[in-house]
Amino acid sequence: MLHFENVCKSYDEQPVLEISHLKLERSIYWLQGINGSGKTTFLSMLAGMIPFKGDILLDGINLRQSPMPYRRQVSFAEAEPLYPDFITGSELVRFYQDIRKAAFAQTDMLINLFRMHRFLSMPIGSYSSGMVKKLSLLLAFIGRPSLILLDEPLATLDEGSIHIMPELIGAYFKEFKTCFIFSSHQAFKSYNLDITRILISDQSLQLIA
Amino acid sequence: MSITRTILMKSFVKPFYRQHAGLFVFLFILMFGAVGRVDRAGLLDYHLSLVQGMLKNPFLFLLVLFLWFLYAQKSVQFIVSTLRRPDFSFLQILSLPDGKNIFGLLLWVQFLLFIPIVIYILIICIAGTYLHLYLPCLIVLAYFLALWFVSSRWYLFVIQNPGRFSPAGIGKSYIKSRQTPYWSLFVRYIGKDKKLLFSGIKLYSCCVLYLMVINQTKVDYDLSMITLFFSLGILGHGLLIHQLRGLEETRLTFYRTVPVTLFKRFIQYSLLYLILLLPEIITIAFLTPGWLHYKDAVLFILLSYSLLLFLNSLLFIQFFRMNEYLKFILCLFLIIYISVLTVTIPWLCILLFLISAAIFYRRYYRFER
Repeated sequence: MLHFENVCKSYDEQPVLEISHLKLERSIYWLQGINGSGKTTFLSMLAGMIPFKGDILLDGINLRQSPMPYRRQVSFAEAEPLYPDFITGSELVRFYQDIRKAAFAQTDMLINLFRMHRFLSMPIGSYSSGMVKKLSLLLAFIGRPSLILLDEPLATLDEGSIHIMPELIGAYFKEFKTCFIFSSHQAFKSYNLDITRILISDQSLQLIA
Repeated sequence: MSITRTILMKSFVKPFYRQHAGLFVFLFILMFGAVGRVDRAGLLDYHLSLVQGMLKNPFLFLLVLFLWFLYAQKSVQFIVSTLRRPDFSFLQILSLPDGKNIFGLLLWVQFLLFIPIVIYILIICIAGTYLHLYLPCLIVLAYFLALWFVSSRWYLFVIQNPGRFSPAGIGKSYIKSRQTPYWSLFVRYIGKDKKLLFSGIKLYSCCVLYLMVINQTKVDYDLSMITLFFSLGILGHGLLIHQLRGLEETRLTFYRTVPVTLFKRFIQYSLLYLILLLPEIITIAFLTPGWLHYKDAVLFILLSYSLLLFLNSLLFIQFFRMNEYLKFILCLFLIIYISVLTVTIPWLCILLFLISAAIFYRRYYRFER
């Protein structure tokens, strides 16, 4: 499903990630590694947010050669999402819904699940960091992407939302065969999910059985 | 200097002047650099006449006071938004010590922010005393003291009442079916945070264009100087474009990951800059065909539009710091100057459009801040 070929990412000519060849099957992956190991960089590369050398292919679609079809398949929720203060949650949801051509029924379901309906009409400037995080997670689940990337999805979430995440991941994986790659320092209660661990260390990725 | 003073200096004063360096350079050039010697009148005579006109003409007097008010509002907006930033939340500790001490420090901070106004007030008072215009000078001093005191008191209130005022009005609800085009986010950002900068730029470019065009005779129809002065105003948009790209790279990063074609992304910027140019387009339309030929009107619009798109695309090569970006803008002004001399403005417009599109298409996905 995901194919990396000679991928290299450097900052100030200092390589932080080097993946010569790697194939990942459609599954749920937990990205692990110490602070500064390159987890966020890896996810940002996959999301097409930052440039890199080499090729990343998703179901045969090359990120570099077909940026638009690739992005149609990928969703990303950042670790510390930031949005303009003046925009409301509902505007942002509608923005994503239009671009991802998602149905109202799906966004309504997600809004209810994350218990966001009370806050959506407010400007994001009035949200707590936990609310902004929830909103970014909600946005990542809009549409039918075949790969969802979640950077520290449990950070700053309340207890209720922490339990929602594994359920939602499991539901999307079973129903839509959505592949997930998430990073988390917190223990992720698997709820019968078959999770494969990926360890990032020494600038490379290693699958852990 | 006490540690509190040092922290306030580094948190408010230095960033304020750094962020508005371009504006100050622009104003300095306008007030001092652009003054020539006509009929043996130099810089001193120019400013003496300016002060005299200001102190004697009630309209000019009110206009200057209003401009100072805008400047004060700008500084207030800057400090209050800094206080609300998460990385400056530690400054809320200022609410703990005695209010009088903190108020004294805030007065000192505001005085430093007001230095450009203070310098000009000094010039006004010296000139006013020389011209025996004591009452207007006293009004100017009283007005300045009021601005100084009220803005400093406001900072103290914000520090002592954290969270009392939200960054944006709460409670606005939007109907579910309302769509939000990407370009509209920038327009709203300007409306919320950058209206003074926007108004200043528009005031300059529209006034310069209007006043210079209506003051030329039909016999000596020559737009060379007008093009140069007008393009200065358009290049002034660079300050705003830099802020817009800054917003995009901090709070709109999600847009890079959504499935939108490069063409549609470019269209969003094209629409944005067309909307931002509306005041100039309206001014040009008002001047045509009475004072401006159709061909020249189209050329002014094309030049402005291509310059804005080019300034935007430049920041996709690299997110240049403001001082580096201003150097590019200066180079661009020299290119316009040469183009005016060689009568090649239409070619320059075409070239700028093509380069803007090429940079955007080549750099959009390769750009990294």
